[in-house]
Amino acid sequence: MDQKDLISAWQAVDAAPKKNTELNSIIQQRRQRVFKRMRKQLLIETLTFIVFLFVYYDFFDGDRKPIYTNMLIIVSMLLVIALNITGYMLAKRSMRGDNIKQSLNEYLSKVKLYAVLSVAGRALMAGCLLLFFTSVITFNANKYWILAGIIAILVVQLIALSGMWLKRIGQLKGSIEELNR
Amino acid sequence: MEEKQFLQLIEQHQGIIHKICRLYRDTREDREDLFQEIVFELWKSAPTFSGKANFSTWMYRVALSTAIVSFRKKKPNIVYTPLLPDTPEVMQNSKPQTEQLFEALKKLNDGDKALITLYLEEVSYKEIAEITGITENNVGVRLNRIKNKIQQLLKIK
Repeated sequence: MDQKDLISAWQAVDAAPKKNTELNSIIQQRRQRVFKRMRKQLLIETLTFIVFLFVYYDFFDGDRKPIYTNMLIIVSMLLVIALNITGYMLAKRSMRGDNIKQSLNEYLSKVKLYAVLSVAGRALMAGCLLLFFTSVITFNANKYWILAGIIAILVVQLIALSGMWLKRIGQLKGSIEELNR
Repeated sequence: MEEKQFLQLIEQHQGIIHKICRLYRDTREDREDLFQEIVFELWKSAPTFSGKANFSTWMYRVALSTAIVSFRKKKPNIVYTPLLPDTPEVMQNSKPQTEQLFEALKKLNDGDKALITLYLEEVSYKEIAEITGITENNVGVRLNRIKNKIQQLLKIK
């Protein structure tokens, strides 16, 4: 295939065109599957956290725990809710930059910042929950082992979350390098 | 830009979005998701379109950036059908030469895909440099390398 053939094969691509009404639905977000999924996840997580905040005091004897642990649990959960909403808003924000390289770099710094905040927020929330539930426990050897097990599980989860972000950041960096090469 | 004008322009230029989706995604569902993401990203970025540049130039930049950064699923969806097809799935109304070309193009990395898309759209080297943010010289060198690679891939086929 020579250059002319390449271009004519490219020009010959035929796809079913979308009608004006379909395009309109997309920009109104009615048909945006990706955002629908994000909204659903955001809603489920936020509602779960809010319900937890409303019931934890009665269900888990908040009155018997130190006030500072109650405060920490509320602040950390509100922080994670705020981070989730910020993430959704960031995803909805348009990509900036005068060219593809700039747009990718701008997007990369946005993702990096959000990744750090996301992992830090989850770590803070896990730490506060742990502090809340262990604040009135009298520890013995067995309980220390159980606590160590719970901490190990939490650390593994945080490592998995960090790994997911690092992979995503690595992919983006790779794409930027591919453009520079 | 007003909504009506924007939709008219997208309707006119949607062919390029379909091609980008086909190049960057493997399954019909993923292509549809990317199409929606690109159109929505264009709509969000519409206030940044000053009207000084061509609409298509601006559209290439936003569409290709979106295709590169948008999250893609790890594995294609597996659809079980009651009968095995006799021939592999091809795009509707697609010519064998086009199928062959896309098979080769899909083997390129994301950056090279962006460059070759612009070349095949017959965008000038100067404009490609402006859209991608790499130097005009580098565009020439890179495109030569990519074209040779495509020829090799097509020969192997």
